[in-house]
Amino acid sequence: MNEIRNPFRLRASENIETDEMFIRLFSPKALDALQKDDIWIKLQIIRSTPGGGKTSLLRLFTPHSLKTVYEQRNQPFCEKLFSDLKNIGAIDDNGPLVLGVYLNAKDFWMLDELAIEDVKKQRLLLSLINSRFLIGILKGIKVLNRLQDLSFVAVEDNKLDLSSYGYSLTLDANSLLKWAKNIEKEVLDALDSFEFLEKISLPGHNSLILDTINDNFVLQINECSINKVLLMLDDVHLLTQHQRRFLFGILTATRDKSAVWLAERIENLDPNEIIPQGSKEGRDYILIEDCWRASKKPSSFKDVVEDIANRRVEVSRFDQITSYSGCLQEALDDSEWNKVFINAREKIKQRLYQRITHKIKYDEWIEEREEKQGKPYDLLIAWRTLEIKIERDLEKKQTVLFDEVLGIGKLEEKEATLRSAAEILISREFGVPYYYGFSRIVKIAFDNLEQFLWIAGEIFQEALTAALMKKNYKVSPESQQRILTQAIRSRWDKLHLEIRFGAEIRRFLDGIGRFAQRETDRPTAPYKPGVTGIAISMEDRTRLIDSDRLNENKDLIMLKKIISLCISNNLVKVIPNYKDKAGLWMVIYLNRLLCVHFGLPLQYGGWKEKSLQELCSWISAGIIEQKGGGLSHVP
Amino acid sequence: MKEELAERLLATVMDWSIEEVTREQPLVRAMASLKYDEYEQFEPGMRFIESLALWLKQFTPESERECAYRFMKERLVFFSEAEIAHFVSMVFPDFVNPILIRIIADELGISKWKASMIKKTPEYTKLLRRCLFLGLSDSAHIDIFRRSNVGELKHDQILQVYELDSEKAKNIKEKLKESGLDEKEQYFKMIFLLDDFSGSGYTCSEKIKVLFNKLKNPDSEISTIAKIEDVYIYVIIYIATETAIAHIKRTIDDTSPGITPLGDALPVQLLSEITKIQGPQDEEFLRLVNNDKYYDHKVFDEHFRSGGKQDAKLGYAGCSLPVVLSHNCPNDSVFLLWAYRDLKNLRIKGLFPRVPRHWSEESDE
Repeated sequence: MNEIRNPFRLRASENIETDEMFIRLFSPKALDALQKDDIWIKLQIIRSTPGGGKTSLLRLFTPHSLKTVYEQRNQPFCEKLFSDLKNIGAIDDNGPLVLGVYLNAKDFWMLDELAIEDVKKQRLLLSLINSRFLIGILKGIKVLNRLQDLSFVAVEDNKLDLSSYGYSLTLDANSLLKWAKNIEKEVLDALDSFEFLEKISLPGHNSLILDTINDNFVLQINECSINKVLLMLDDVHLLTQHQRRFLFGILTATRDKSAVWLAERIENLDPNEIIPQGSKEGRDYILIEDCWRASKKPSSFKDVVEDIANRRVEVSRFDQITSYSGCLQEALDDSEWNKVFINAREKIKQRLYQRITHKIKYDEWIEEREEKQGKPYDLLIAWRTLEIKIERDLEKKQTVLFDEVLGIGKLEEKEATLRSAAEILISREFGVPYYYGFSRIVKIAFDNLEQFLWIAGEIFQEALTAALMKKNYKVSPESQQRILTQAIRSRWDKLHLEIRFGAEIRRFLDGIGRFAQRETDRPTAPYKPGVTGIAISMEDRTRLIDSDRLNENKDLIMLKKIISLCISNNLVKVIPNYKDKAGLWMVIYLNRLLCVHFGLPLQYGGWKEKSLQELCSWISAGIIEQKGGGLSHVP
Repeated sequence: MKEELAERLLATVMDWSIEEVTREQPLVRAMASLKYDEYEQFEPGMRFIESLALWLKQFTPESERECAYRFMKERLVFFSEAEIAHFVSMVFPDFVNPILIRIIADELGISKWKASMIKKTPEYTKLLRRCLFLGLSDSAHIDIFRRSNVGELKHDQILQVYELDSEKAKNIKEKLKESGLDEKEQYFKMIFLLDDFSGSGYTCSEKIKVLFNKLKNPDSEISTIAKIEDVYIYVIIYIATETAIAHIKRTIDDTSPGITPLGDALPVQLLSEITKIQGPQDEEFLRLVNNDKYYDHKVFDEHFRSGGKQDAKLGYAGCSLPVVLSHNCPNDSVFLLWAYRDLKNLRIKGLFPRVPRHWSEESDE
């Protein structure tokens, strides 16, 4: 195995070479999303953005991985994982209880391109899935039983009836394997064939074999502790729409029989469009969508990534680094920054005095701030929040003839909520680091494991370097911010090259980012701590989804495409049906990486509504700065 | 030296900040593990990063080290064992076979694109049998060539050397007789001379002249198996500069005037003129190369003198190449790259120290 200097660079599950390394790096906290009562009997749809950890989750339940967990169950790095898998019934003290078959759907779409009737295409699809599923089961039995071949495995005749699938051989494992491989070969030959397929006899099944290959079959043909089989189909989003509808229809119809997990990426504006009508979440299927989304479990993503990060630190070569957060300096160095804070405070003071000359109503506020004691940074924050409060007050209409002096109570009202706005404004104006510390790194990760590993890895690289050079390996806040902004800028600069319609996507995101900057920088900080997204009405969203309503409007078609690509490439997060006083909205939040790029805060909440027309103009021509610093769009 | 120690040494030599080490270290490690660590002539226990650190340490002031480091990162051309093996495996299918097919196509009046048809003709089979492959040096990788063409070529068609003794020539002749060829066809019609690298073409040309002279001599061993008036001679170099190929072609033309058929010189991987260290983009590094502070004239022996230059700063015959081969750095590359490892008291270290192929007693002083 190649030496790993920076274990954070091992990202995709597919690239982790050994099962033991995979288990070492896998966080048991990722299992929290699985509800143990349902996972073996109800269809599970696991959905996330790319890099969300779906394939890793599926890989854990393959025979090799479960066998490794069982063998390493007493090792410190594996104890918790073994215990959690035991809790959900995947393993026990005798060994794995589930035989998971992992299939990838990436090539299945080709079946839809064949020049045959739709019903034949569906039968071919089922044949391919069935054959590969059976091959996977038989191979899994070999792995779990440590068999060289299947010669010693037999099947009880009266328990298994495969005649409806065209099986007429003796029921022994080797014959089954041979039969399944032949079916797979016939399907693949059909794909490669130049002949008219209508004239050739093709294999075709009418149902999924997993209904027949049930727990009893597995129990009979092996001596290990397996009591259930699991079909895991990854990258389901790569199926054609017809295939997905067909497959979902079959799987939701056959309820409570066998365990089936489907994993797919969130690809477009309406990911549920392929769920059959009449199917009900909870009854017919369980949707696991971004299991650690902040709104559901605020701390769980942080817990998961902290565990993952620490596991990766453990396999790095430098024993002196014992935890990931131990590599991060969590606070600014007072000795270096106090002077900056003091100078910044003076500048704000002078600005404020000029702004409110001859206005006695703020005298008490000013006096309170002048007399306030505390650390230079806290005093700086205090003065900046004062500035925001005064700006807000100045914006209000004058309702009395003479100004009254505003009391301290008015100053302290909701002041704490302005702190986060003051922080980001101070950061932007005076270059004070803002994007540092473990909590903010987690936020920048945008609930995405791969994104977390990337940015955490970039920072960890510098810690490793310092350790190599025998220097202090705690990365300073300034360095953390520098590393993040450089890495993100590098990705931004290549964005238009790496994705289809990259230039249009960049203009769209640039429009959102710069609009958000403008709103965040407003002196009154109306959307504290700032704006990080936009919203369209749900009515507009419906218009975009409905192809008939688009009426061949090229701009809207492009807008729909761009938003879908942004979703599928994890550049934005979409929250539909957000309700406020004005109605229902689909909010589009920027990926927090882009918030770093545009100098925006990392919290959610601040967004502004936009029309489809304006968004279309951003895509075609970009957002345009007006003279005087305002923003507009091409009408 | 332990890898981490070597990396620390490099960072110290370059006086890098943590940020710079973070940026450069992964690149250097990647280059080392991908290719440069496989260089066969490092001292025991030494690998690329340590060699790089010690090489850079020689340069003062700091700006020269930066320049040398940039050269290594941006201009070095390193051919790995795998790449050279790939070139060798390409020789027969991509260079030799098309020649044979063309010859037979002309002979039979068939279009040369009908390759499958031509390959099935008895004429092709005979011509293939009448091909001889000779290595021009011990790094011609004849073993790889032989293994790549099992089933196509016979064992006696491939020789590691181009100078035959009588015993060998006799054995080959016997095999030709046993191969079913007519008596007048029991001679090689195609001779392919193979070598790994040519920077100037001088050394290769000398060998070609030797071979031609032997072919012209009816008493030589090779003339028992090949006739000068009825043989094509092709020189195939796995890696060669434009200058070298041109020189070799001239040699072939000059050496065999009026004798047909002739042959050609073919590179598998051609190094164009822009590969050389020259021009404005290399100005700064050339100042280092030409600086007497970073040169030791002890290396300038009889062999270098034959290249027609006054010193070896730019390499043999002033080739001025930035090329390294995994098994040995050619002396056509600049001196700073290959300064000998085993030469006593040599004041300059090479980045990829060379083991000289052409050794004279003077070199030991």
